[in-house]
Amino acid sequence: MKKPELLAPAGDLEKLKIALIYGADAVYIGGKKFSLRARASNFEIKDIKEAVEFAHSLNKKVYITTNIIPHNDNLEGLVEYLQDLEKINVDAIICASPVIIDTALNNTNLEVHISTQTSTTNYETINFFKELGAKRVVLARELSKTELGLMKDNTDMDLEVFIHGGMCVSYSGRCTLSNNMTDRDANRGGCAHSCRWNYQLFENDHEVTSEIPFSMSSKDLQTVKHISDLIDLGIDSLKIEGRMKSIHYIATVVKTYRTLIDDICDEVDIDLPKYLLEIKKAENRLTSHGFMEGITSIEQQLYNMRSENPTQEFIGLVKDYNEETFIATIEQRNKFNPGDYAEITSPNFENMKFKIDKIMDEDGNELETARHPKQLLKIFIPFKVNEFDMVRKIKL
Amino acid sequence: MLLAATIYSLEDINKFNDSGLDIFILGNKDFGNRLVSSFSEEEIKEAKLLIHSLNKQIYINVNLIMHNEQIESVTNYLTFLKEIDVDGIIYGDIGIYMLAKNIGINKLMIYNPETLNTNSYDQTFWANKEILGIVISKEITIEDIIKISENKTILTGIVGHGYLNMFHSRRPLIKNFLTFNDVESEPFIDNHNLTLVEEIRDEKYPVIEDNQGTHIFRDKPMHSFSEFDKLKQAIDIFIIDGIFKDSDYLNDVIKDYYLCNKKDKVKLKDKLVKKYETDHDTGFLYKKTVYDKY
Repeated sequence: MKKPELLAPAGDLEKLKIALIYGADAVYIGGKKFSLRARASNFEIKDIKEAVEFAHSLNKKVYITTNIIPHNDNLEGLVEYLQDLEKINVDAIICASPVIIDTALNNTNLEVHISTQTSTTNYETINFFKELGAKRVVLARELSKTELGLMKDNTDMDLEVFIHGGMCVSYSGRCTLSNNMTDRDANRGGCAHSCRWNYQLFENDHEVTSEIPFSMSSKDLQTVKHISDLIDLGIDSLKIEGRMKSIHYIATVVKTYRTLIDDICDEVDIDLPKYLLEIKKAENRLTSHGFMEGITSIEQQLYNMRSENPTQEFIGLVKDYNEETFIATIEQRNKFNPGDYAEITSPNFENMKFKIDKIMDEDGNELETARHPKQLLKIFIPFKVNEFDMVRKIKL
Repeated sequence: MLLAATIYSLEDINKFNDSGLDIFILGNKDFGNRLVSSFSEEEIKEAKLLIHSLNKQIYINVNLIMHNEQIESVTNYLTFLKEIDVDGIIYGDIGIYMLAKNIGINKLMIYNPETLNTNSYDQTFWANKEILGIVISKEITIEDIIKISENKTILTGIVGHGYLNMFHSRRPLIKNFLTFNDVESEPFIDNHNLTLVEEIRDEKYPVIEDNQGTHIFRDKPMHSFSEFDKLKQAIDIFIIDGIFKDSDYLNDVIKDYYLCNKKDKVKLKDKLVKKYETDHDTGFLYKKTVYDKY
């Protein structure tokens, strides 16, 4: 059984480290140029270099998204940018536009992955990109497991499949709702998520039904139950979406899939409810399996504004631990109080629960409550924790 | 520059020919998206004979987003189109180009993915693939259309008139929504009288669900009367899409463009707006979209 790559998003260097430490084999990040997330990117070339060095020190990979569909005036500096990425040894770029694909192939030795923005839905398209010289295709999200099997049977190209996160409800790359409704170009990083808004449906001048607003909004993708099948199909890379998500989200999702993939490949008995329960802790929108079982039904759509909040709250990131005193230094992320119950999630061990006793600031002053974001605090944790472990508030 | 338009029925062929149309666009609903009408193979054969007898051209829209299980039927369809000797095949999925290349008809292919032909290199790239032409994306300004056309070596077109699509989902979004609300969905499938209105906006966006999924369109059809002379110098094919209108409207529009250089362009638009009670705009011809500052 071939173990697929687990590929995670990283919106900044901290998230990148978290994703890799929690078990991702590779991460993808957007630089400040040619990426659909360029506007929110913190990655200058020097930061990408640091990211690559960190990943390579763990024998892991970094892919850079250069996935915009550029207009004529967006191409300045493309060759130089791609050559810079090559110089700092990034492992691949993810791109969609012929000008970026060919510029990379003709001017660098960068490995080229074809973005989901091309909405590749058949193996003929895969083979087109293979002939061009690409190494991998990130497939469209509109494919069932049956279709994925057909594709795998008809190409030897590396295939990457989304397994988790937010979904375009449109075929990716084919949507200009945002362009039309807000003048923001979805294919150059300006998507206003107009597909998430509320509408009314009319036939001529008559509203078809006024029970609830017309919504085309998609539930997020979650495929815990399908990972075993995807591994059996021989999919090469399993991808998590969410470069804008928090470190807690990244850690929780990556760790869940990491453990699941390892357990499946080690042929351990799989207790699916355990994984489903764990991944729910990162859920901030209802989830479904998308197109895994074929054309979507009402089960894949969101029909009300209510989204379930995570039942567990991320309250702190472990920075340090003193094994003699059992005192952990944590960076506050959400309010908590002495007496709250908490659990530690860690890349190194299964979740462990404890009760928070005293909370102290850095100078040892006891606090009534931990209310300041990013404040360094000291709490007693009766077992060994490590830097990058996370503390969640739980209800017992 | 040649004038191309979708047709509603075979009766349109002589009528539109008289009005000055050069290229007749047909399609079948199993292989084409957002068509004004679906034509059987027999009808397409008949249309081809008539159109060629008029010394005009026939293009077939095969612009589905192709899924694996459709590869065989699309291959058969392309083979049929090759055999009956059509003049052009419009595609939006690269897999279809691969199938066409395999059966030796890449030189009939016109790439119109609607959103992805956005810069000059796209022209060069597809010219190297030895196809017939490309259609520039709908969200490109006239300034960029002219630039992209500057060094063209294959046919280059735009959709210059009609309702432009702005969204295509594989999901049956209308059926699902109505099912959720316990409303029988069947009357609302393939129904061209549906619109969506966003809660803080007034625009009515036409929406269709068909066997290819759900499609949402701009609220107003675009026109290019004032720009037509300029576009004539730059591009090779000017496409008029008649979706949500009818044969009479299309015929008027074809005549208007055919005689455009001799007429007052503002009056042409005003006449159309008045007669068909439909406001028109210029799409993205003058609208630069933003993406980094907002």
